[in-house]
Amino acid sequence: MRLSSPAVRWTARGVLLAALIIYPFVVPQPGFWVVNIGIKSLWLGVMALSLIFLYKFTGLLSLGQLAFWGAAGYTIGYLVQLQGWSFAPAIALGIVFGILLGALVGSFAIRASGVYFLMLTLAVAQLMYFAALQASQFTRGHQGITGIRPPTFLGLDLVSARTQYLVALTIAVLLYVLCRYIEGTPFGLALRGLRDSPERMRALGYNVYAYKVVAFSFAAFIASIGGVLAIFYNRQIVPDGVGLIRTIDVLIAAVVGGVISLPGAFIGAFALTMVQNFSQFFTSRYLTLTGVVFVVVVLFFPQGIAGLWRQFTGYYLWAHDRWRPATRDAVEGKGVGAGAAQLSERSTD
Amino acid sequence: MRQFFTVGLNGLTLAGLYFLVASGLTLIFGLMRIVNLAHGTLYLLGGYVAWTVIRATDSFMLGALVAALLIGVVGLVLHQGLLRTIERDDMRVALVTIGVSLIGADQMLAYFGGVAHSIPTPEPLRTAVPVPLLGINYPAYRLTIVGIAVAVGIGLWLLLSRTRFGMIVRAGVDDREMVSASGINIRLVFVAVFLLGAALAGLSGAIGGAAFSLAPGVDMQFLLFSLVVIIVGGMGSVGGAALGAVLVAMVSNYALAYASSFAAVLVFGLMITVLAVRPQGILGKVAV
Repeated sequence: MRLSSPAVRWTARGVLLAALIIYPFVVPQPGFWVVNIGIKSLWLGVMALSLIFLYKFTGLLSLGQLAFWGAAGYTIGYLVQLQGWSFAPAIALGIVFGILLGALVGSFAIRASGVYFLMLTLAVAQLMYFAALQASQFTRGHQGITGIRPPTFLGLDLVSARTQYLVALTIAVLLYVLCRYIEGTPFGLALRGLRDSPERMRALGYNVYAYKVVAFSFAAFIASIGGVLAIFYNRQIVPDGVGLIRTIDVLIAAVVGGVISLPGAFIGAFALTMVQNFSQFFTSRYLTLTGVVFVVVVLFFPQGIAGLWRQFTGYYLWAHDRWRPATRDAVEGKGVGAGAAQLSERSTD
Repeated sequence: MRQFFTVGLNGLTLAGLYFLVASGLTLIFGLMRIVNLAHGTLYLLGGYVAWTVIRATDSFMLGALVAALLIGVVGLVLHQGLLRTIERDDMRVALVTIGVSLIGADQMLAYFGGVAHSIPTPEPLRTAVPVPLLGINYPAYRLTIVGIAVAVGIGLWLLLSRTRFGMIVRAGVDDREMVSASGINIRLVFVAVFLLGAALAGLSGAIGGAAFSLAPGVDMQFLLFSLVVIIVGGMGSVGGAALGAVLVAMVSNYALAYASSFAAVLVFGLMITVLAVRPQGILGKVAV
């Protein structure tokens, strides 16, 4: 039976989903494995999903997704903690604000492309950081809005680690399925057409600009949801949450996971979360380690972990063509991706 | 009124510094289509190098010189070691330089700590001098920064418009294949421009470190503002960098003085206003 046959794929998906649901009930030290690894990977994965969605459908690589994360998070923190609102309207308003900011940023940023777009969105995210520091009557400046107690929704007590994990998992899965669904809709197909040949699509009567703004706003919507999940996880929102290091975290999760692969978002987020948590045991300079891993991935594995299997076979077939043998050795010497590569379902050969 | 003028002069000082940093970034981008997102890191590292040298030798000039030269070399190593092989792929270059900025920030934190350092202002410039027409006193050193920025700006303009090297660079900005085809080793020009841009960042670090502090996070601040400066001014244009630096520094400084909560929001507003009217920036040539 071929590895890529639908039956195998659906079985693998079912097993994976079951494993993810059972996960919080079987792991030891739930405070660490469920919260620090599980929930963190999920909300970071949602952020990476937002970035990857945009890149996959429009070809635009954004460094600004945390701006919408922060917009949603700060709105909720401000309304709940400083204004005494209840969570439900605050969350709704937070997400709306994230989407509106996304539409505003999108309406000027998507006229740029490539590296210029990257710079613009990076600038937006950094301005968000400084805005969070400066507008202290809304954000409490340096110290941030702290002590946010996760609410109880529909009988689900989000203070409990397991419940929060399962809620985050449900939302992450729904967002992922939504992104996969959009791939096949006329909207998704039009976006891919715009990415590959904007002139032709324009000639066919599509409003290229409007489509891209909508795609950008949708990515901002995903990022805002990430902000909601993160505020339950962090129980606070501080300026450093939207700082450059976090921006780079999202980028690393997306690029390490494979920047054109939607499941790669979560693989990358999980890998990064593991590296960050465990490297603390043997080095205090885990940011350096993260940076080095990232540079190596960008230089030698442009398709990330999700593309590792395909890249392996690619090397095997024409190793001498594009890459020097030395790089091939480096690939084979690397064990990190071996297990994760099996999670990848994109080996369509 | 005094406060208004002082804020204006503070803005001008900051504009000078932003211009020094951004001009290197914009030069490199203009010629090579490379966005070096580790540029703020080069600024901060330059400041730390100067701080170390000045502490050891007590000579500001020596510190600034060493910072400029050493950071130039660091930029060269960065370009030749990491970026040369992927130069054609501008996205990957940007990503690698982000990684480098993360590594750089963490390493500098390890060596220089989280405490803010400050380079002592050179002896003869420590006093405040009266500023003609405005009727206020202002630190001589800060006025010197403005002077240096203007001098570097004029120097760059002369270099680009009046020398053979500048002619090659300008031709390279327009069509580097053609320059290459006419027998000029464009690679060597790339190396020189990258070195010059990095050295400018290092020099700015030394100069800025004596007016403002050197601490973790300063690298990102200068990266952000030099990005905004060249987005507003137009990428690849040195004149645009000067105009952008003045606009951005003035807006952010007046906002900090009179509406401190909204300084970043106003800079954001400036950026999107410019982009709405001129997507390529005020003096930018073509939409990128």
